[in-house]
Amino acid sequence: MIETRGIVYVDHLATTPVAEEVIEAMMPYFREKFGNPTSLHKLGVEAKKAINRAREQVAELIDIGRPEDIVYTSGAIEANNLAIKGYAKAPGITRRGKHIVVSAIEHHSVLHSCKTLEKEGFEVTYLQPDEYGIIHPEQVAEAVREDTILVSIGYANREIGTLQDIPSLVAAAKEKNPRVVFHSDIAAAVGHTPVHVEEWGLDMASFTGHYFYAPKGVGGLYVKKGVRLKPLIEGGIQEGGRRAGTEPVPLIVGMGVAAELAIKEMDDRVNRLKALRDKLKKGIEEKIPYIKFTGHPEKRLPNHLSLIVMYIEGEAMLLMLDINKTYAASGSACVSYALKQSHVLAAIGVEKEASNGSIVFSLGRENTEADIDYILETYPKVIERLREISPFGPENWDQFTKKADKYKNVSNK
Amino acid sequence: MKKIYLDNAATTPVFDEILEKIPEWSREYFANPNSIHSDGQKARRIIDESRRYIASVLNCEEEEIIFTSCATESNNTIIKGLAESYPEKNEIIVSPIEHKSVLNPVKYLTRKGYKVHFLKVDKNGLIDIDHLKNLINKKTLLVSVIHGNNETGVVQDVKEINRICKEKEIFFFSDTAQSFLKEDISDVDFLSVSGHKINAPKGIGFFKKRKNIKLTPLLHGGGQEFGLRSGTENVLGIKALAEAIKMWKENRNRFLQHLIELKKTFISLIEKELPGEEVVSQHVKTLPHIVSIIFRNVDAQTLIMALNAQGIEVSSGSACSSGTPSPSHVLLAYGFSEKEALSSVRFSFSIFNTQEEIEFTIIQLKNILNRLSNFPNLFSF
Repeated sequence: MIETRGIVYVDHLATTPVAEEVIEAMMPYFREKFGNPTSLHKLGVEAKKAINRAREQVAELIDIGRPEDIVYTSGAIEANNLAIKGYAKAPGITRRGKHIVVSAIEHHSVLHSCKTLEKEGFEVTYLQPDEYGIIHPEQVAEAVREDTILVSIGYANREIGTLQDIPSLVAAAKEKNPRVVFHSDIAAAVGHTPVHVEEWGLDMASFTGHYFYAPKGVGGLYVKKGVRLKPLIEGGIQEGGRRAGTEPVPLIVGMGVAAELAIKEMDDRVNRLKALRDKLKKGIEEKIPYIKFTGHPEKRLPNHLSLIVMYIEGEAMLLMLDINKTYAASGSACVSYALKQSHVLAAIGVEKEASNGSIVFSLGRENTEADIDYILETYPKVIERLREISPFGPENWDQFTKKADKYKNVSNK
Repeated sequence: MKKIYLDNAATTPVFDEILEKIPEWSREYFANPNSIHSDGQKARRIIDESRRYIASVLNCEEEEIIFTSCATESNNTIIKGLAESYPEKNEIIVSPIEHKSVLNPVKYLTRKGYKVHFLKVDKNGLIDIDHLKNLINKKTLLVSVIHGNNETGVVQDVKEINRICKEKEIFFFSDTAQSFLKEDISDVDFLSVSGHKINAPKGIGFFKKRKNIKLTPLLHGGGQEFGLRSGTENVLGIKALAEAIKMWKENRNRFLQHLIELKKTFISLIEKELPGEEVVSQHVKTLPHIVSIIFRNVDAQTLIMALNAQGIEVSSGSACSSGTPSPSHVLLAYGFSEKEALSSVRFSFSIFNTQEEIEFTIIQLKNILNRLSNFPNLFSF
């Protein structure tokens, strides 16, 4: 990528560049075949066919047998909102109970949806992960009750890369209460590593196109046949009445082609990027002292490396990387503006001051070995320089955290 | 066969000038605008610029423009969000001729105990403003009146309604998906827009919310759009929307003139060639691009299919409910019978249509209607 674009973009879990094949596939649907899929005339029918073709392509990528079980949304955040709030408010659901189980390291769209439900009288149990970010089946079995209606545990974590053992979690939940509906936010995994939504026993799964080289503004929710939802966005009869609003045909066509591309390139994305990731990890380990890798060492996204760099200021690290044309992230893009500690890092036991030095490298299809070499050449120098100017180091860290601790009740909003 | 698209109220083709730029914008502004690196900031700047431009067009503040995926989402957000933010008010005044994306959320609120008052509508499709004045009371949460109707094009006196609501300190929302850029819009509390109705791509829209009004978001999560609409911003869509609005603003007189002339030709040819058919709401102000005709003794679906076979694409009304063959709720509210409503066809024009297309359409219409009247039993109800 450094050769072709002059930059090293390693922030593919914030968003991915739209693939050229995807742009090309979308183009006819803006002007020439611009029909509204709900219209009954030829242009409309053509548009409808196009979005249903894309449904089949996406169904194959997430490995489900019934494409019609996919509801298109504007993205994963909408899909998560629809899954959580839409299911909790579906007719008859609350008669079974008002208890929801989620992991504490879910995306904010899951957690905040749960928070709004709590205000409406639902009870939510938050499962704490272990130090690697893993949620264990026993925890699920323990948390699920007679009145539990929904369990939501994401497959891949954006910030620490950890992958959950979804089939075991689903089994544990259903064994305890067979009527429980299991939702998983699989957005961070789709296109980066294989997912098997149906085989895993999921009832609902959220994803977004812009994580797998499709444009922003389109995503979807898999809803297993028989699972009822109260739509969040009502009006027209689109998406089987589960999501009103004119479908963004070009974006959906783009997502379909991106799904096809992902299937075609999956081996490369998994194996080649894993090798590059491992090389990056090894290099960083050798060249930079005082670091701690976060997430699970093996059960993790193949393109994902996350770590805590001690004794530096995180924001400065990202800015200096930026000057070096390396675009990485401190965690979830959605919270990068708020200078709050990441709830994910807090949940896996990273102390607040240390989590400031969090960095995520997420690789993508355009990254090459040269990119890794480039990072390994420039990044250690960045850290070295930052540590030269840092007022704290291993010798006074404890003192610093104690001092910081004193101010911990001061709001930093 | 030549295709003639006269269903521009359902959706419009993207401007060529925008289409050309889409690949470049997709590449340039691909980053997540919430990322703090340079590429993220580049995407953020495009959103800020676009928002600033749209705010200037509406003469409002930047933070009053909230991007969404479409007008349907905007309408849902406004109605449900207001209800959650102001629980002490539990009455809603709404016209019965709203789009379904307004009526369905309102219906949802009735199940939660809200009292809904439907405004009286006359035969021409105008709402009864005196009725509105009588209905407003301390419990009123919101008045919702569509600006330009999506089926008949009838334009409401939004300025007067807005004045009344302001005076009584009641929130006023107008769905402007069809009227935006075609009719001037008063300084209302809320309005909603869909990009794909104005030659921007599908999948992008916005709503305007006057500052200092509380609104509970529909989508929770990343806190984008001033916390009012979470979700990674559709950067490309936002940029394209702003550019489409710019195209409209810069060419507005020419575009409007073109639409007005198309519609004038269409109506005068209908009157001349098909004098028995009724032009809906002919004597009140309507949008320049929409006209509905009631073809007395014909089933609209049959006519639409016959036109379609000749390459002419039209619809019976809102695309959002066209899968269902029920009569239009809008025309029923005007006082038309079910039979009349089932005989209505909407023709909606764009700046890409030509006078020749209109003339050709009328010839085809005439032929089809002749054929249908020769075999009345074949197509009777």
